[in-house]
Amino acid sequence: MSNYIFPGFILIFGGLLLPLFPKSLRKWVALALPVLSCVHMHYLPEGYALTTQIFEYTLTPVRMDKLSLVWGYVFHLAALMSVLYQMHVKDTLQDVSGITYAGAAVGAVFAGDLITLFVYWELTAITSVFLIYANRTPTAAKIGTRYLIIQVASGVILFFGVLLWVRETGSVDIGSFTYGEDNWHLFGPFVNPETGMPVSMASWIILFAFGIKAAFPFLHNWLQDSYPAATATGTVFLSAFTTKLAIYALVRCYAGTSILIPIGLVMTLFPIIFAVIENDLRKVLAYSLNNQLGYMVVGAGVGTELALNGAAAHAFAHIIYKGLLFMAMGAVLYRVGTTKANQLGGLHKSMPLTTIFCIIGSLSISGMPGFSGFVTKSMTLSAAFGTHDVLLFVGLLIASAGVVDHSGIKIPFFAFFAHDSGKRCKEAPINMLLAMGIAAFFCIFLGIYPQPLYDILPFEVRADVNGAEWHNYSASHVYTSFQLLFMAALAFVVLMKTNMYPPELSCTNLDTDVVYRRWLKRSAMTIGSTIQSIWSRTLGSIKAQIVGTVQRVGDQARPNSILGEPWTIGRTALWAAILLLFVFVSGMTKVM
Amino acid sequence: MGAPNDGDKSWFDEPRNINIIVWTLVLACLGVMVGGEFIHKHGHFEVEYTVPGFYGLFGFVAYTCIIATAILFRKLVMRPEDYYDE
Repeated sequence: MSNYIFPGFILIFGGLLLPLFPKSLRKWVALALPVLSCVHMHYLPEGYALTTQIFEYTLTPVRMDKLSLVWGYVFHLAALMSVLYQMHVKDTLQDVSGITYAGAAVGAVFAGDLITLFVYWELTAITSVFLIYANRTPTAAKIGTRYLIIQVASGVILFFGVLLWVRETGSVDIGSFTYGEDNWHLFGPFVNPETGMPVSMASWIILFAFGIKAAFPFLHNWLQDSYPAATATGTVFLSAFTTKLAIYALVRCYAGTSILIPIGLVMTLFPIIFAVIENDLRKVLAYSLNNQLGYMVVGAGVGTELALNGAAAHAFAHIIYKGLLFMAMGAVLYRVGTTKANQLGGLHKSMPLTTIFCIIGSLSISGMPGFSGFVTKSMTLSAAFGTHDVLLFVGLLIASAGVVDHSGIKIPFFAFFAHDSGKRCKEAPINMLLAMGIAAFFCIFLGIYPQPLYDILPFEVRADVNGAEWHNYSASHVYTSFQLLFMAALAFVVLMKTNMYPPELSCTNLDTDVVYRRWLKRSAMTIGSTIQSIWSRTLGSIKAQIVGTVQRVGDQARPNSILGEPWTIGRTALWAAILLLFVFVSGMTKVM
Repeated sequence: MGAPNDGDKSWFDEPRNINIIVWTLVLACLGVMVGGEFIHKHGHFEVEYTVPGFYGLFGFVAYTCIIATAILFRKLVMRPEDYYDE
């Protein structure tokens, strides 16, 4: 069995070998790699595990199961769409970076032990940063380095946690779910089923490392900082892998951790406020991504079969519709040169197809019945509401209304409609349109016919899972969704008509990155300059002391000073006589 | 780029058409708010059964509150575009 190629290796090594192919073939090879890799993954038998012994530890570099496969399939689809979307870009660096990045993410979701996971975890950081550097501007270099530091730090913390975990348990295995007492609640291997909390210090540290990549509140800002700074096509890659890999890790290892519920809830809420006042539409999408991750984190925290199915299904659909929205904005950036809302408007005249695709993405993310987001978000929401937690109910509904604003209305409205900016451009290139078309197809297809998605979910999709009712296209569910969406849209119309909707303004909005980009930077500069001034003052005073002493000694030797004064012959003879007397006396004492 | 010329006006540039969209939305809202009362409801909280058109009202109010909060929040966090000097 060991002669199988690991999932992800075709992408990683294929990507690295890409520059060796003739230029005319390179793009086609790039396109073939995700297809080849997906077919290879598909035909690996389910339940297949490859183990190897290193020292006293058993590593499992590959383990195939249903949970991993959900991410495996959607990562390949995302890789294919992103490569297609990037076909017009003549920059091999971006192709190599994007494909190896996708490969690292695919490898990570099939990792059966923590060491393998750590290796892929760091690999996703190192491979993806070139999608930001590829802009080749000083700003991109700075942002890329910030991104890399935070991503690598997440890996280092993960490694530290893993070492502790190995010391505690003696095993590097990722482990599998355990059922709770009620037999429908699931707990990850790092969670105590009795308390619903991480088992030990090591599992808290690993949770923190996962939390950085999953953009937990206060650990999130690398996302909004870096994604809008990548190339127009690079952001599409970035939006798919890193954060969803972290969601996979949370579902796999921390299912049923109750603290994930409040964390996820805060994640769904705070980004919607930032998204309203943000002017850069790619940054709005980054906040929106953060908000969507919140739903998945809640799903992982609730930890029922329906909730984990919901988190997995939502990750699947989200990668596609979020990719579609980033593609639409990437097309705008490519054609117009900006995604600042206050400089856009009226682009539906120039880019009608992009407009339609963007609207399909917006309807999906908003959870409009008939689109993929409706199907998948409703699984998570039903599972969450099934906990009968009022705060969670109110919070998630507010978050859903927020999504209608930032991704449902703001993105398509300010880019393609609103006030006509007068900007006219060509429609997006054909490969971009094709990639958007594929994503849009899946948004609608999974909305109308979700069965193929249900089939690959980790648990059987049932209408009723031990008390947590779930009816997807029930009349009640469809009506309540329409009510929320239409009435929120009506609120937008009322606010626009009464000029109450906040205008799009060129600005920087402070977020947690102000801590390290401004406060810590300034503190470090102040501390540095204080040390420098103390040092230069101390050095100056020591130097002055030495110079003064030398000066004083020198002064004594000057003519007419004590040492420099000319002696008379008489005085010299006197001192010579005293010296001789001294020698004589001391010689005499020795003799006696 | 300049100002848009009259030659490329689209369907959406006509105020009358915008009104059509707005009124269609109003009608759709009315439709789902009223229609929602005639279907069999199933929810997890009592308020979903007792308040007519709960989700619609919640959506409208929540949306307005989000925007109001954002306007206030902007006063706190908004800085010039070159704040970070990058």
